[in-house]
Amino acid sequence: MIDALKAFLEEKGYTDISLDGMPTEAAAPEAIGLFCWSHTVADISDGSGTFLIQIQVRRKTRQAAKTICDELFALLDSGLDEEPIRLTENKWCIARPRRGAIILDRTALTTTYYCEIALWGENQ
Amino acid sequence: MSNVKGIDEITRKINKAVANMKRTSSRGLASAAVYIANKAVQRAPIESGDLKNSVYIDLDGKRVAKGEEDVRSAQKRVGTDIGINEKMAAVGFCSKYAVKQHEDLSLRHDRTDGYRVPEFNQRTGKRNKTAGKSINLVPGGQAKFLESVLVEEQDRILRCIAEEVSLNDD
Repeated sequence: MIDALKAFLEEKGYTDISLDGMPTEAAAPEAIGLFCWSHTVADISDGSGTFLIQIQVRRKTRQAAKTICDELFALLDSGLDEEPIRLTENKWCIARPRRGAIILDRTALTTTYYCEIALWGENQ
Repeated sequence: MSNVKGIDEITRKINKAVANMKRTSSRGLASAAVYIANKAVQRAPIESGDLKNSVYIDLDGKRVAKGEEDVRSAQKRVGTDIGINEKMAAVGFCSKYAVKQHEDLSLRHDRTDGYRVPEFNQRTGKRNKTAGKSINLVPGGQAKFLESVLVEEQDRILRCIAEEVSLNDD
């Protein structure tokens, strides 16, 4: 699911996306990190699962980090009607927002914001 | 007109059951809080142990357990001096870096297992027990150490409450 999410965001024009880790600030001051921190399945095994994902956005300015984090949070929301989001050709999900953009870290050079979402879909 | 008998008896029994449920659900709530706190401590990152030891349980805003040992033994107190008639439970960690450790998934939580590559005194040939580089990394806890318990063990947590209610359903 997280690979499909990366592909989806790249398709939308976002770059420098890493999975389950962030590059050092020196190597890439501007980066987006996708972390899947939990994967739960329903009691009745119907082949679906929920992936809890944290998105970190690091930028040189606080405003840029917050703007992009807000954008991603809004992008990955299936809304009240739970509209499926097609991540790739054969991978879809229903995305639910869990935690809006919050500041995570700031250094002399960069600021990092994060948001959290839950993706429900095929259990792979 | 028919005469219904036994209404008073039924009302008395319902009132008794509701009162009993209030008492036992408080006990269940306390049990669930103790369970969550203990599981969270097991998952918390460890370096010096300060973070694990900053765990606490509040019931109705009153701190009833603080620290790893206190939380571990709290289950024995459920039904005696905690979990009597409380309606709200909170579990948390009060160390000042708890939020960062909990939320930042980019942090590594490995730690060394204490093994050191032996270093020998060149003059005497004896091993210097306190010197040497630590090399073996072992898992040292995880981020989301509290939230992951609530997400992954929600069925077990609800059972904690349900079991107390049903066990005492007389």
